[in-house]
Amino acid sequence: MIAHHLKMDIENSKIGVILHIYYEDSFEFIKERLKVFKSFNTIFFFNICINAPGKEKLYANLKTTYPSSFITQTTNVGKDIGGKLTSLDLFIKLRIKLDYLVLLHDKKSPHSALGDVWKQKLFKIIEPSNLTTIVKAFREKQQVGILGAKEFIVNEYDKKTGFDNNNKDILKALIVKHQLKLNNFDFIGGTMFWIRAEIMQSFFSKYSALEVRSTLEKGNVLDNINGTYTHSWERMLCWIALDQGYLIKGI
Amino acid sequence: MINTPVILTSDYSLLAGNVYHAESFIYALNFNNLSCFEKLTLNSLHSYKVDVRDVYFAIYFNFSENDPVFFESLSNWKELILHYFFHPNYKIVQNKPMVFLNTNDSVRVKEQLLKLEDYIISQGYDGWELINMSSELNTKNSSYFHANDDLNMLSRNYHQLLEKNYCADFIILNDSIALSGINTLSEVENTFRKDLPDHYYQLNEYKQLIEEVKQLRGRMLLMEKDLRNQKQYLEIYKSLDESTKIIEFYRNEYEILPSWYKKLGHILKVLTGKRSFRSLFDNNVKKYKN
Repeated sequence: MIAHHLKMDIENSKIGVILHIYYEDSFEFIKERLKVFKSFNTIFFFNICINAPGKEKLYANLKTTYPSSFITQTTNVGKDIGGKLTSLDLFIKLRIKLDYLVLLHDKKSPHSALGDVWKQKLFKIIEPSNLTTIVKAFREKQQVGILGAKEFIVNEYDKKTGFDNNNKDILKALIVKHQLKLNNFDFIGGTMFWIRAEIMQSFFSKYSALEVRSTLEKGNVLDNINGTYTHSWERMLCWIALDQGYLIKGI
Repeated sequence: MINTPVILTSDYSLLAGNVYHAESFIYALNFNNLSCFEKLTLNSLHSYKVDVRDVYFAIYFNFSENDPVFFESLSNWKELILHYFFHPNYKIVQNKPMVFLNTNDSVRVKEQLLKLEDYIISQGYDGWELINMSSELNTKNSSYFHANDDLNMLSRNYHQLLEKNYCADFIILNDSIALSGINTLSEVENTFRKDLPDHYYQLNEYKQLIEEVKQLRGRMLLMEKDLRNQKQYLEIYKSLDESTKIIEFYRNEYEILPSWYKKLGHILKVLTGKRSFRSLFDNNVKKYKN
């Protein structure tokens, strides 16, 4: 049972939803789920990949359904990370004051049989039954900076051997370049999570999100064989919160 | 229309909609000093209710007198320029943002433009589609025709251009004559269709074919990319045996537990109603509830 004042508090939260869309056929799945934000003070930032075959139709659909949303259409750089960085840059430049940002994308993992299962689990962060729990968790514990699906909290770091992935050299360089002080290397795989807006604001006011985007790989990039900046920034987007003294909480 | 009208304007609020009710056209937004960037902020750009179809816009760098100063300062605005390109109504041709230009060809200007183009390429575009209007080209070899404000002259010139097979290109109009200019172009095309129906038909076909070829070329490139991606996914899919992963997961999460713990687990399943009680003693009964 949520106390009335807390309920009001939650409903007054200003939320920014950042959604990257690559697959034209995936929007219907997400559109239904986005309805949950109707009871919140929400601003939508949609990013459509220029390669999406039905992008004109999708744009018209978004413009009609969310007339006050901010819609960008970008090249296929850095997959969903590149799209999210574009929206984050727009959010910073528009100087909008928000409490939380929700990072989402139309995840499909065609290389894995578990792609659909992952997607369902990642999207539980916007299930109506979880929303008040999430906002409540942020309100009650100031240290919580990021909230995401607990199954996707990953840590690839070993104190003795270092990072256990193909991205280790890039990660080390990025940590040094951005002067991150980390003693925990947790991140949310899949890059779908809630984050306090001030964390992103503080970091990307110092380091341009578009400059970061320009370093990402173009096209369909995978890190199965070699490390990539795209997959490294998937981790960095969580670590910037840890660097600022926040924690990652799973639901 | 056989050609696309481009309306040169300093009135950015025109982006609010298709006030000219033309089939399709482009606003070329006049940037003749640096304060124009302050005028077209991202807030104002995204607040315009641009028609989702047929109304496009592009930047028109019109700074012929102080080119070096203007272009050297452009890098300070590169991120804002990029955000203009990111707007879904910005005119992008074959992955290149279209930019109209009125400038001399000095080395300094070229250097600055190249620098900016490198930045655009780093953001995933294949460069930009520059249309420099400082040169007086109005032949079929050019990609635009800049009309002056005399509608009679526009009418005569456009008729001549159609006769010379000027097609699928741009007709640039100043915003002072935008509406009447678009009407004039339409009238000329109507007259041309009546007087020379075969010629008009050929031009129209040609225009449609050009557009179709562009679209198909774009789709083909995307499909080639997609095919390459699918091949890559398939290779990964084949190389990573998901069942091995699942078995490994099962072993780590369950199999390594002591057997008394696992047995206790089965009793818990019965208590929580997930397994039938009888199945603990009898193998010939349904074990799990659906």
